[in-house]
Amino acid sequence: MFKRIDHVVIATEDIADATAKWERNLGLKATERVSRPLGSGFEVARLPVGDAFIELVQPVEETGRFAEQFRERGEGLFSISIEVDDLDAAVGYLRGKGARVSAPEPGIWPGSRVARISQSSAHGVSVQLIERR
Amino acid sequence: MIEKIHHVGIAVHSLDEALKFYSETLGLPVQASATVEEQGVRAALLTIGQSEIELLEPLSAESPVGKFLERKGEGLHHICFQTPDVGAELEGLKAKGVELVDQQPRKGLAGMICFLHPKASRGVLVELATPID
Repeated sequence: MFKRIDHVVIATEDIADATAKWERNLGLKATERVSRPLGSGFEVARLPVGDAFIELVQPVEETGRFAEQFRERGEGLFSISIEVDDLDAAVGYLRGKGARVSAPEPGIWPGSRVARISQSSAHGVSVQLIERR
Repeated sequence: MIEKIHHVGIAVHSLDEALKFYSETLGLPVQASATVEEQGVRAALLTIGQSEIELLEPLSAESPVGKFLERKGEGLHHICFQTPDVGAELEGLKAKGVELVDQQPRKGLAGMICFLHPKASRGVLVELATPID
């Protein structure tokens, strides 16, 4: 049911500098930049690696869900995104196991739907489930 | 050259407790587990698609993972990328003046490995690995 790591989210205060460092150090290149996807308060860069990608995220507004979490946690690894075939089934399954999972909603990447497993249910890790259509 | 995300490392208080969620609930098979004295951890690698999830339980509070848990609690600890030649990659990083933890590759659970300093990647602890077959 939980197929693969789709992407890893890394929070940064300076997406231009972070993008430059990932390219200089490891040769990972940003192939896509998205500004305020879905009306959110953040900038995003996508750096493909193997069958997955790194998603750099910089908050550009003081408010919003991501901005608050970012203030608490600062720069660094932020969450992992795991691909599932059937998001509704995966959410139902995990809730049945006692995990706290948010309701599915559209993801920032076209054609995707996502839900989040609470950090308290996943040993401190913010896990996003993603379904691609 | 970076081929793919080899694994994402997660620091946990108890490997057995974490396996209940990541292995039993998510159904990810345990591919390897070992005590790595030099790194001060009990670790398990779980297969997810072409990558792995590495769960890390510290052997003592003074170990690097023990200190991480003390400071930040359970959660994402590092990301490891696979490269065909970790030694060559490390020489390239040195030539570019990238901040490193390891000056030479060493043996780890994922093969021959090295760690970059989190400063090199704006707060992300990055590991490189070349698996040994």
